[in-house]
Amino acid sequence: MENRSLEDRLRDPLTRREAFADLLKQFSEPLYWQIRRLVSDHDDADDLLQNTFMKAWAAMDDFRGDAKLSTWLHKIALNEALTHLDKQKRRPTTSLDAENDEGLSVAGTLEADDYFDGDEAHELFRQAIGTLPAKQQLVFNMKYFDDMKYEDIAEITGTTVGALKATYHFAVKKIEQFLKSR
Amino acid sequence: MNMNKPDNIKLPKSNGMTVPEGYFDDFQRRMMERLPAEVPVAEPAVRSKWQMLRPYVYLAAMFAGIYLLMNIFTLTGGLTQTAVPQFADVVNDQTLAYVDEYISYNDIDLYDDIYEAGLSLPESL
Repeated sequence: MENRSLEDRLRDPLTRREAFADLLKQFSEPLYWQIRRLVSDHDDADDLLQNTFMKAWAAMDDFRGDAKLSTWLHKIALNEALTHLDKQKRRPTTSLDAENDEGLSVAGTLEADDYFDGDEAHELFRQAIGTLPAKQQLVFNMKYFDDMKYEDIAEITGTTVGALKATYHFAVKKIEQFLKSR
Repeated sequence: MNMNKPDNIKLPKSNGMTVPEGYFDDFQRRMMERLPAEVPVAEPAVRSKWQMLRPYVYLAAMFAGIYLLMNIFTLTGGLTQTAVPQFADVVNDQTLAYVDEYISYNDIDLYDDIYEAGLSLPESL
């Protein structure tokens, strides 16, 4: 029984709950940071992470194992975060930076967040990342902070590896330019 | 040039974001509380009579279709026979005598006709 893979135990209704506890242990933290880096606010990230796991739980019968479990979960988390940002963008009272329509600038949100250390270098770095368009920001976060493989990012975002490399390269250049100008 | 890391400028590896102490343990506990205690095991669905009969009905319909296709020429052949009497209407004794005469027309008759017409045959014949 214990030799069975996590995927197998999740597929079996009799062992699903117990396996899901293992899944939470394994994926809560990486998925939290994936979401948090996009939405910035801890409480929002917490809500979205709960939604991600609830959706994964509800869709467990549909998980056929064609993709890796981690890729599947990252996709759900990414969709949750992007949907949230899209809704936030449409709200007139949003805290998104008005100067950057394209990106997911979060400077204002961070200042109000209790769970941000407020270090000047970090803040500047966050601002630099916030100037990037949404897609570049996403790719930069996954590659730079999570050190994910391009192949995995490609599967999650539905892009080619070549396009991702170019996107990351542009993101890095933009961040460097932003920081040099400060 | 290494494209993987911004190497011209020293960047922090973290982004300065933190979480409350014990957050992930607490999160896992909260999530497990939200999940149902048991996963309902899907019972095999009860099949109605129609659902049980449906494959046989489809099979019968398929054979009926094949039978019709195979007999369509016979059926249409029966239909074209109605056109035969129309042709038969124009066949009378006169036309039959013409056909008989035409069929029995041979080389001798041909030479007779040529002779009567005053034509001469080539010597090679």
